Amino acid sequence: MTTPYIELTNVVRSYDGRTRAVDGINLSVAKGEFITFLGPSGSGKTTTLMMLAGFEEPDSGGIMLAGNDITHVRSWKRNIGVVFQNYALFPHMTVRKNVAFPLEMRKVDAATIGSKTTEALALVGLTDFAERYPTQLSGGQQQRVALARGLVFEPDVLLLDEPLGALDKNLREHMQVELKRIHREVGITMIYVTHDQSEAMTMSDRVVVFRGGKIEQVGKPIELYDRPKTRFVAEFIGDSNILDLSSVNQHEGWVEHQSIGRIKVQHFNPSPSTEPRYLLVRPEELVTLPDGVEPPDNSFTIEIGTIIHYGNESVMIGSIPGTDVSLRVRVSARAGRDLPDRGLIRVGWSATNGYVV
Amino acid sequence: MIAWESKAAKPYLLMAPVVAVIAVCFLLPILNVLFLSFTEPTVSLHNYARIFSVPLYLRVLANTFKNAALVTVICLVLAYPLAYTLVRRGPVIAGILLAAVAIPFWTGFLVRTFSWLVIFGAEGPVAGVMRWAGFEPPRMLFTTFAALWGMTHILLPYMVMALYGVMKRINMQQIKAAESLGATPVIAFWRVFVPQSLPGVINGCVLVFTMCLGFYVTPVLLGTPTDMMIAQLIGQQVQELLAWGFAAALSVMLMICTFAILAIYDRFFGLQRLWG
Ligand SMILES: Nc1ncnc2c1ncn2[C@@H]1O[C@H](COP(=O)(O)OP(=O)(O)OP(=O)(O)O)[C@@H](O)[C@H]1O
Ligand SMILES: [Mg+2]
Repeated sequence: MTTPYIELTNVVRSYDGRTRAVDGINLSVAKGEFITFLGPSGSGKTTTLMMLAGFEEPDSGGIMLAGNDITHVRSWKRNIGVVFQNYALFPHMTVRKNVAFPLEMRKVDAATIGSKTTEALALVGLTDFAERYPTQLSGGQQQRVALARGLVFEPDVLLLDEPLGALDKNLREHMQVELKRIHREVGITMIYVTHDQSEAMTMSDRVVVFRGGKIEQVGKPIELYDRPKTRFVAEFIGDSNILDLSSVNQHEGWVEHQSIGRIKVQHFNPSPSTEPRYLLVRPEELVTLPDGVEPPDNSFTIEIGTIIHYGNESVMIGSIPGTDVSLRVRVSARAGRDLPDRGLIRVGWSATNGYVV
Repeated sequence: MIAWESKAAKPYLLMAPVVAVIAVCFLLPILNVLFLSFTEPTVSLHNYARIFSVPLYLRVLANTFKNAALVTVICLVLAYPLAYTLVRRGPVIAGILLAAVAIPFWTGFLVRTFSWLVIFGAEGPVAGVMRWAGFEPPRMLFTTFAALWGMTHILLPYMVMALYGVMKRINMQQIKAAESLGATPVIAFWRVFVPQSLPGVINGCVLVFTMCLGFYVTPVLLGTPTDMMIAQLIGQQVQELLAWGFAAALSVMLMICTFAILAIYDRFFGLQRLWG
């Protein structure tokens, strides 16, 4: 990474003086990055964002922005845009007035306010709605106004706290694409909070996984998916098969599970943080093995339990007889329909497709 | 067809008792007053002419408006910060403050008025404290000050409730949003909070002002005849002079003024909003 644009150092924040909502966070963000905070409810995402925005002050630790210490700078003196989940538009002002507000606060001259506001409204595709009031807009349109308002004054960073949370699925996907387009066009650093992992995967340059006020892992989406550092990340992101391991032999390339024995693996977490360790195999890495097909490195017979049809694909869940191990296998929609409801089937995966967390 | 008609008529039938009560207890007396104002002692417009030809009566009318306006402004100035605190503070503080506003509200206003008689009395606690501090207490009872004070005390809860009702619907995240957009807390308050609280301000003012216009007991008990308000004048005309016709004309004037204010309010804001 190049020199960090935003840097959080050992940031701690407690609301009640006992439990820490944010518990020692270190994070560097490069200029122009699209960073997503992902984590379960109450993990400290919003609190961290609010400290970046200046609405909360850290109990200890520091926040740097573009080389300046902003830890204790009041929010209105930072140059940071915020988009709230409920939009927080000003209902008594027209769309144009809402968007012009940050420019008025900066005492920009009227002509510039006019042109910049028009430009920002065009960016989010709301040119024709400038004279309406927020209550006369749909949720998606209100979201765009909030975006335009947060971008129009060219802030150093745009913070977005679950901005699409209140939208229905189709609109949300549409807005995800829009947001990415805006990010590309404007080139602004964005920090985005969500607890929708697929949203985090599709939009982000890097994802920060929060857990209990701490950062569990930071990385590109694909890194988190393929090389999670902890079981929590492995389970939180994507669908997964996770096996508890009783022993690990990285040198010889195998691991052992108490009831199903040795499993061949090629990839190991170089710096494991947990003991015991776990084997992660993504459901799409498992293949069903018709009779006569050469088995891959690891193969097991499983008893079909449930088949979930998603329409475009299916997931078969089965257990290895005589053990408590159940496996999720992703199959094509067609294959899913052709599978028998119950019975035994052979499945397997190759050593390169497992990862020892 | 008939079935349909009876169906449609039913809801109105349900209103019949209320309509009857209103007609008997409310409309009839008003009509009676109207009638009296034109017929007592003789059939003429004389009673109305008298209001506008005698300077004293015009002064009372002006005084009524002046006092009502003063009380309204004082209530607003006192209630606004209080209501603002109610919405900005946590539920515990808000609860205590709301109770502090509501409990006197439930105490009869006669009781509250009499309590001021005691407090402001020549031997009352206020005078006592002043003497203790070495002042000769000024006369407090039976002054304009006492009348305004008493009315403010009684009408303040209406203003607080009107403001609070509107303020608690304002999304406080907007203030944060304004601050993130570069507004200082003071500017955010004036540009974002105050404009959205205006409906409450208008509601509260109309409510307090119209109630104040017809206020009787408190100004009579605490105020001075030299600073008479219209309700007091009406009472005097009836009780002391038995001038029923003139009192009725004054009442009609008061009613017209009140209706005019409500009509203007209705024209711009819609009367149903007055009740939250
Ligand atoms: N204003 C507050 N007062 C007291 N505690 C708070 C406050 N805001 C958050 N907390 C607590 O701090 C912790 C972290 O909350 P935070 O809002 O940062 O979580 P989050 O990751 O944003 O969760 P979500 O996904 O539900 O929005 C939680 O345990 C929460 O209860
Ligand atoms: Mg949150």
